[in-house]
Amino acid sequence: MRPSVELQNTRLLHILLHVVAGLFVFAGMASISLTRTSGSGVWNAFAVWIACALAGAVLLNRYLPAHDRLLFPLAMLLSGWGLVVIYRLAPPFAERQAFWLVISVGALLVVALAPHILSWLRIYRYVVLALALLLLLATIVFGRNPSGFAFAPRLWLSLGAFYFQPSEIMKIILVAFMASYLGEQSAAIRADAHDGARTRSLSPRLVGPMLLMWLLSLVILVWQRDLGAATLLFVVFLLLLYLASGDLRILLGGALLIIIAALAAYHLFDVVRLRVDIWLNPWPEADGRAYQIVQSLMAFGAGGIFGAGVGLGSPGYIPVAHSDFVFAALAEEWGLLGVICVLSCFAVLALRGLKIGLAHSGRAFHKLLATGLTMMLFVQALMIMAGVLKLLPLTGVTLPFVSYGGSSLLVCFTMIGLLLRLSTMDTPTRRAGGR
Amino acid sequence: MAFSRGIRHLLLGSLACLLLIGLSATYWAITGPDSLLLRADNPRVIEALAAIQRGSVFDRNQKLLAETVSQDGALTRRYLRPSTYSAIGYYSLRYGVSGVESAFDALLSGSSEIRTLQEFVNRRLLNRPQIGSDIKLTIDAALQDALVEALGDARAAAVVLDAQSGGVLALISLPTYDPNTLEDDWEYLIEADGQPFFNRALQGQYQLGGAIYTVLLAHAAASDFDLSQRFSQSSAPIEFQDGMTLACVIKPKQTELSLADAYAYGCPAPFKDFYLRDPILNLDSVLATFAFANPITLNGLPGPERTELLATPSEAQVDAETLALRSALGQGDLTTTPLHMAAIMAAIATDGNVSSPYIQAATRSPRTDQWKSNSPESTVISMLSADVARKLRLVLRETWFTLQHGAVSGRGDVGAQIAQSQSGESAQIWLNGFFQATDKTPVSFVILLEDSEDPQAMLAIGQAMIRALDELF
Repeated sequence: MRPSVELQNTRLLHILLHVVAGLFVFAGMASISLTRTSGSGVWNAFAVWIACALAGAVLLNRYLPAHDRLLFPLAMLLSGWGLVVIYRLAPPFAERQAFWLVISVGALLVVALAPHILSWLRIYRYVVLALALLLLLATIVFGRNPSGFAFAPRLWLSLGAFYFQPSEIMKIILVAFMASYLGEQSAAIRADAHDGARTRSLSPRLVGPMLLMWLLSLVILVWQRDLGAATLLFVVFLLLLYLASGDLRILLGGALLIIIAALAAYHLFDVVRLRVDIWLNPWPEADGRAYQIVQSLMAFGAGGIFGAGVGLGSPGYIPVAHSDFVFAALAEEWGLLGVICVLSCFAVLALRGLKIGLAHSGRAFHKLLATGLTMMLFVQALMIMAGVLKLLPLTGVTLPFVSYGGSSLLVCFTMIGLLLRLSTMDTPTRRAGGR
Repeated sequence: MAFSRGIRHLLLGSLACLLLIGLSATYWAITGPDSLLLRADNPRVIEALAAIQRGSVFDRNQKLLAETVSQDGALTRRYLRPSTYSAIGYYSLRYGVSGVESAFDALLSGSSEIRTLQEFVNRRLLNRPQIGSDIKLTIDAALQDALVEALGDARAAAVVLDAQSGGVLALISLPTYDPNTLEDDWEYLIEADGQPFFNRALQGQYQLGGAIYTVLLAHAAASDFDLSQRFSQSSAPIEFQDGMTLACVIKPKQTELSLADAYAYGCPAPFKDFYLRDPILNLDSVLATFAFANPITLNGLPGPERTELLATPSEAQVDAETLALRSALGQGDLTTTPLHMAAIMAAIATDGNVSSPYIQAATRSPRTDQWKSNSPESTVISMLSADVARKLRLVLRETWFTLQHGAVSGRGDVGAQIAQSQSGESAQIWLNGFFQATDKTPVSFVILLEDSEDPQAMLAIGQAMIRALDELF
């Protein structure tokens, strides 16, 4: 049977998007190779990226024909852009990132093509959560830092030569757990929240999980000094709880708890105090503790509107630019136009992710899972982009798909895989529209 | 529908956050270059400066004086003619720019206005390193060489001007420094005796001493005073209450001298008598004719600067009458620069008018062979009438003849005076004059030696310069 015209059109769109992404990444890689005297590695990285994009596109088209057509090309475009920036800043890291890209796209395909993955996440939520907490505990006990610095946060577990961050895996597991729990409880929560007799007080069904999550975030913050992960998990949880209850007081109460935790952390932890101080006024210490954020802002200034050109700027002045500050490095060489492109990519990602959630009428778990995963990616991107622009204190999270970081890339692609899976579910909307 | 409203709220909130980030990025990208890129601690500024392919500097005969070369992967500024160091100044990433390098920095660094589409594409869109224009100076490197050699180790200044156009043919200040080793020598140089960074020719303000006799002589000529009228006791020194003594530069054989003779020997007494016998002489208006109140400067280069060289008596030390007399004899509070004095000499060498001095002859844009002549905004200052200028030239020729004891050196028409001035404990000696080769435009010159009272040494330097001018013109 021949595919419908609509499906043919979406396939064409899919191909077109991949071609655009491929040309963009090719142009970036070519520019890098022109500004370097040696470096066949850049083309190896490009070859890996092309192979991943092709394999992903072909397999998704074949085995998941009704998937969302924008998410995978978007993720590939951002990861390809990230490869270009990382290769430009630290070539050895780009090779490792290319390796992680293969694993990540593999994980995406496994998750997207596994038919029962969503049911398993829902049914075995406590088992998965227990495993995740065990991993977190293992990190607290056995955690290491690949840099080897004595006082650096020990957020990684090592597996031979490879390191991964359990807090990254926690992102998926906690979202799945929360979606499952809140999905089940949503009817009762909503009834509580809108019960005329109890509108003045919050239900324990709401407050209980919120406080538990807050405590878990505090544990992450206290034991691991991982301000970014702690904030991110708590914010996404608040958003899901708000979604489940429809009660705005959740957001207000959560904001209050964040402020309390932030004030306490400011007085208790040097790393938090440092980040807040340099956020409030980095200029007196532009050559010292605030060097990184000041250089980041200078990178935006140096990039201007059109950017310095690929390989022609000086983002190397930003310490660890390929990781936390990749957005600033990108701004210096691609300029404001590049920044707007990145923002547009994340806007489309949020739109598509939330649209997938909206499409799942009557399926609270799927709706909350799609929204939670989307928000996890989006809020993380917001936190780091706002951080490098001095809108928020720096939290040390990565820019999804773009920053260097194997665990982060793996988890981001896995989330996209889950969203792709969710986009193919037989939703009431689809049933009504017919296929 | 459950959740849908909340999801839509999340969507709106997300887009609002992105908008905020976009606005913030726009702020830093557009406003940032003004506030961030000019910060001294921005390493990108240094990097951008280091990547500038600065233009070369040539003398008027297209001899290379300074260029930027690639050395060990980095661009380095190289200065090739030691005699031109003080005029060209330096360009240093650490210490900035000075001299010609500073005056024409925008041209040499290519940061002047963007004029062509290609420049716009290269600089604004492709962010290619700036390439500066080459400049050709009015300076003559061979003349600089000859003068620097003649001046030796003296603390001195020398200016030679094309009297017609105002083009600077020589500009020397000694002692100077080697801009090629500036980074290494800086600490020593800023403390060094003799202030090598101080451009004596442009910044040094010296009391005129006997150089003011030119002004008095011009006034005498303009008022039809008989320049051959003799004064008694002409060679006698003048002693002031505070112990200062003014005497002839060269002792004359006769005791009665005219103003023209006194000018030749540098004797103050006849000028004192001339000043005292004319009670209506308004010195200020005479001095105003020579624009001392508005010192002549070179566009973009540093102008006069008061220094410790000066030491004029206060009213507490001497009475008002003596102060006035001292001023009339060049030992008051009037000071001038060698450049200004050279401009006065240029007025005498021509028809009494002087064009504003300039030092940039032409410009050559990057990647072109065509030199584009500089058309300086010439302001003509009228100092003398043509007749007075002619009379003064005559006196100056006789003076030079007298100084050389009747010998004639070279083929050119030369007129010059040697004058002494005192600034507190130190003394300076001036050689002010003009030179004109047959069928050529005249040049004016001023040489000043600090801490010197030896007219013979100045005469030897002057003769060396005249020989060089003879050869060059």
